[in-house]
Amino acid sequence: MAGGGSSVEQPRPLPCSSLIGGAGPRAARLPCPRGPARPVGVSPEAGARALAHVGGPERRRGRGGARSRNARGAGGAGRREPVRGRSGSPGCVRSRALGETGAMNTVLSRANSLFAFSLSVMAALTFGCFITTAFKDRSVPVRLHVSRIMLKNVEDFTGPRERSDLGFITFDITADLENIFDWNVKQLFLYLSAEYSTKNNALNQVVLWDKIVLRGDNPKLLLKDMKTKYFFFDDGNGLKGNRNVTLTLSWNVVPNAGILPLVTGSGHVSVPFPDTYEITKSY
Amino acid sequence: MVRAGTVGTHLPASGLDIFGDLRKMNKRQLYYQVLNFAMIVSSALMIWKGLIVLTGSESPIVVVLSGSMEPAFHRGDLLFLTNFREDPIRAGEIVVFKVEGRDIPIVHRVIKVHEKDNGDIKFLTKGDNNEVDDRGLYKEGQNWLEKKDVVGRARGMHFWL
Repeated sequence: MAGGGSSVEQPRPLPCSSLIGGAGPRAARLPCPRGPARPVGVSPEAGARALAHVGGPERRRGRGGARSRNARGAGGAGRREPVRGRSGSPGCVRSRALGETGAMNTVLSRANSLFAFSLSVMAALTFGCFITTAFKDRSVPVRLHVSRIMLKNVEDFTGPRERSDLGFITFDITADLENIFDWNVKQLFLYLSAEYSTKNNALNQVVLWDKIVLRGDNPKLLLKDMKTKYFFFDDGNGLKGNRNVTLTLSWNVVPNAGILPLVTGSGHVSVPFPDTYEITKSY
Repeated sequence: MVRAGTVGTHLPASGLDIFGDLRKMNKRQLYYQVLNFAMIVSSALMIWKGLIVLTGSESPIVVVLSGSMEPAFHRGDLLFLTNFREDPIRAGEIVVFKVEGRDIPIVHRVIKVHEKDNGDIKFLTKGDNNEVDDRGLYKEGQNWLEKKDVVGRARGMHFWL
């Protein structure tokens, strides 16, 4: 800018209240333009004193702008460019209105500010999604029923090669999951797990069956005579004669963004396992 | 952000004239800029290390790399992990674990848990989108995972960023 070269060493600023562009009260402390008329919005040179005064708050605001870039996306294009002549030499303080710095006059800077703004809006929306659903109770009543139980003792071909107990269960599930789904639930991962304790292990949990219910799928579950999806192997021979094997239906709520809670349905069934093994050829 | 401590002759027309500005700065301003940059980098590092301590996990934020947990997690989703020692491992939880001898952690779901009286836990995992459990992924001869293999439990997620 040619104007910058004209009056460099200003000993003393001239206080003036009429400024081209009519900026706010702070601008009124800036000295008047000297020399040829300048384009609208470009502040004139300031003396060392005015500069030191304005440079303070300018500096703080400028640095805040750099850090919280996203939050001030809309004002990004009009970011201030404070000039601090610490050594006392004057510079030029630019106006802070949008567009007046000339930073919105290219496609690139417009795209930049648009992108920053939309990113901050998306972030706020996502946080809103999360915070409105973070503390909901995701539990619903569930009815479980077991119709058939059978027990075998076979070699576990999938794992340790000793003979372990293998259980077979036929079950029914009735549940209405409609109240769990809201705008932040992407899917529910349902799983039926059997929990029991044996001589070898104080606690055993085995997932017998699972299902994925996406948002939009039918949320009412009415399943009858279901077979287990996964083999119910015990770690050892603890199922035989086990009086108390508890089956519960639980689900993992998978959100779009937020907490991944594991919720257990209210309603479980405890079944005893038989004392004898079934001897049949295959399983 | 470039702060032009100019001697008042000329302001850069665009923000790209960085080297010109650097040349015009005196030593103190340059030092200030370097310090500023170092502050930013060390704050980021402090936040990261603080998160590690807060969550108890060596890697509190991970990115899902494979599609073995679809449709729950797709590639590129972020997972927030915690790894508190008092939290027991239970069936249905999503754990991030490392197989011995491999560097890459795996995000899968626990499907079997056997816990002894003294607190020793062994568990088996399986990816939601996989047909079989993870025994093929473990070390040769290893049938169960233990608590020491766990990097963390997935507590929260964020979609692809």
